[in-house]
Amino acid sequence: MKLTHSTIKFFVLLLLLIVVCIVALVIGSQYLSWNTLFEGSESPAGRVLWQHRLPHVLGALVVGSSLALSGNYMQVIFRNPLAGPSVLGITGGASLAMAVIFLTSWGMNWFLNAGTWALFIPAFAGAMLVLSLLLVIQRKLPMASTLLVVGLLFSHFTGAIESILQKMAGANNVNQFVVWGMGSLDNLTLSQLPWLFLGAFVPFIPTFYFLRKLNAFAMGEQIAATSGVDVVKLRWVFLISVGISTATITAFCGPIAFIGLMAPHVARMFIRTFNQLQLVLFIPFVGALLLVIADALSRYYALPLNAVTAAIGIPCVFYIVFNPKRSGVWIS
Amino acid sequence: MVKEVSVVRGKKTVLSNLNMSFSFGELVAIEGNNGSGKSTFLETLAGLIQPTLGEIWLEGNSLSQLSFAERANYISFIPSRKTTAAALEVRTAIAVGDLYGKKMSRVEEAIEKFNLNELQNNLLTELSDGEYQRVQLARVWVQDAPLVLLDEPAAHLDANARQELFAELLKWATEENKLVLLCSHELQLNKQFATRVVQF
Repeated sequence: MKLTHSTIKFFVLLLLLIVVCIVALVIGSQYLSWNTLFEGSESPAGRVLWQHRLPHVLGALVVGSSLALSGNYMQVIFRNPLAGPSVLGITGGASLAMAVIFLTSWGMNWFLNAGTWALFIPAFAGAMLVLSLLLVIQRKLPMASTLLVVGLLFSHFTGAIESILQKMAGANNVNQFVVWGMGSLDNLTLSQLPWLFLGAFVPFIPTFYFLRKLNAFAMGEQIAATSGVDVVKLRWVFLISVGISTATITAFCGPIAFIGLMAPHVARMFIRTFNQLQLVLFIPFVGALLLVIADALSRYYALPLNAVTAAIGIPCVFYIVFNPKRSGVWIS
Repeated sequence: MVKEVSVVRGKKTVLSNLNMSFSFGELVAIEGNNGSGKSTFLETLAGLIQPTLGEIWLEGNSLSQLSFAERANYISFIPSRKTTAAALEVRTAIAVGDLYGKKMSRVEEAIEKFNLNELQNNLLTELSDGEYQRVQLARVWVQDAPLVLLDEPAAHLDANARQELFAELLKWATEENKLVLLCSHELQLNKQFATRVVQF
């Protein structure tokens, strides 16, 4: 009975995602007729569709689903329903590393020659540095909620250094960095998508093997350890995958806020479970759906992507704060 | 068997040169003032704290030599509620006792046995203390390890629930031949149910 119920919900979600993707291909700053979908890329409208809109929609699918999985894993590992890559300063760490490259022009030529994928290296180093610091600090904190404050401090700290670098950098570099920092899928090309998929989504594939253990982890480290989980190893498996994924996304698209925080909650409300074995089937689709919608709206109204994700995400945060028991606020 | 175990935390020696042995079929109540090292002792037995000196032996195996999965076959643990935190529904929480998904029917049995049918889709965060403790017992019952450790399981429970809990644990010891060790401030119940009381 329950399985049938979940299966129906899964297909509803899938159908919704397909419809939203098709609509997102048609709408934007320039409206395309439905017929364009069946034309080749020779006509001007076809070119917009295949070279501009399609990478946007496919990119949003990959990035949205990956951010959603990152957010879900971080919420369980850090035992905090408000955790997410952008909230805990991990995106900030990756962003700072990018700022060093963009604003000091240090190694810029090498990175430009090597291609966008090479920006993954500093972004990964920055993300993992913040993740490791959070892990060390988390063990010394009396309450899980304090970690959010620490994450916020990290974000402010990386932001402060970025602003110092901006002050010292040339106008051209600053402009480049500010546009990148708004978060956008504009620069994605079809040829980059396989690399984006490889870096952002593929690192999560091994984590699917550990979902039962992740359920145990949600019960607390003591229970997990005495149920047969090597908690230190498990934590690293998940956090390294989150680090690689966040770094890849940040390198290709800039920091994208709120999707990682919001999608797991929307998925949990939709299928009404916290069981990771079921949730992980839904969370990537919900994340993809939210980002395809946010990206389409940002293109349609010519707004920065992060302004749209914030407009959708902030009410979600309010819901979590005002419904602590139902949204699964962990007791500390 | 606990052999010459000492645990030092920071500058404080919490357990000093402890020697004890227990056998299956016992319900052992550990009494002592707050801060006397009861919980540390239990956590050391559970393998959560590495003894600074000495060793824990389980049927001829040194605890420190066993992998996490092997330990889980020997030992199950219910921490005190203050250290436990979870946002999971009851059914999923019970299934944590079955980490490799090989005892699904036992999960169903546990839900029946501990009278959790109506609560199985509720979140742990929505449960009363008594209900929460029943879920923990069900989880450990699914895990079915011969050694069961409980840190102040009766705290926050009303008189009836405490009686029921101790009676159930005694059944585990006597009928299922498990070794049940619990920290407890319930001196009266310890005397009434435990087969042995240890002072710390």
